[in-house]
Amino acid sequence: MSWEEFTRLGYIMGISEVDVYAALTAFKLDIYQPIRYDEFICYYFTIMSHIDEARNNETNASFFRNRYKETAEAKKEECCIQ
Amino acid sequence: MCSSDLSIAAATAQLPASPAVTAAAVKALVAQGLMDGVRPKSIPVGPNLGKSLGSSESDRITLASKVINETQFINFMRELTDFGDHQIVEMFDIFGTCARGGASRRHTCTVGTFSSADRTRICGTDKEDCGGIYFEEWFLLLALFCAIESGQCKQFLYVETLTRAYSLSLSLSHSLSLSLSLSLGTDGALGTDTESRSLRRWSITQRATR
Repeated sequence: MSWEEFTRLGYIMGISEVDVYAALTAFKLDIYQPIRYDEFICYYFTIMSHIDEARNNETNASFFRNRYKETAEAKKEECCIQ
Repeated sequence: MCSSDLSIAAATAQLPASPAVTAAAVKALVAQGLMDGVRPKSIPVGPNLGKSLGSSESDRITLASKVINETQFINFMRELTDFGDHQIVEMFDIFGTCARGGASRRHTCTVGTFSSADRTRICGTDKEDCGGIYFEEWFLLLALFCAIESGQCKQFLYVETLTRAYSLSLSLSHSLSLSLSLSLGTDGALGTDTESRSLRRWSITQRATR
């Protein structure tokens, strides 16, 4: 599989070629060489783990943000009541 | 060990015997608006809508032959994602084009040219180009987006490497907690009788070990 074909899955997920390449710098990837199936799986496993990590961090961050907001609002209400 | 085997056997016995999609399952999908573009012909529409279907052979629905055209795909992706129209059209071309090889009319599916074994593993049996997106490809795309949304891309890729298109239903059921019977019914629609049975066992084992 060529590099153009390799990046199609990333394109569908909304990741540009540059970002795909940046995520794979640790592998010292040569984009002019054909990519085998096992390499394809390995590379996308790396990319998707980045996506999962970012997504979960975002979820956690928003959860704590909402929690903080709720706590702040509750405190405000308490103050108003008092 | 014996107890877990027994529970798996008991769960397997409760599964529907036929792998084909039942009309009720597809009607539920249509009611949820998931399949507006791929409404099967055997579901009664218009004045017959809502009438009970018989269990004859004509009511068996195979979604594998259903095709989504470009307009339907663009509308679907506009609603689902924030991609621009040119990106959606390019995506449609990725899914729905023939192999760029001249005389060969083999369907390349999503990911280019592998060896024949790998292509069969990824794309299944080759299909002729129809200028649209087959149900199983559309469902794979939907499962991918669901996996991204739920932060389970790795699981999607892992199951995808184990089993090609049937992973979508498993990923979906993991991501959205859909009912097992619905996902298994969709397995059967993809025409994978023998392997879906082993997958049933696999998914049941997964649930049993949780």
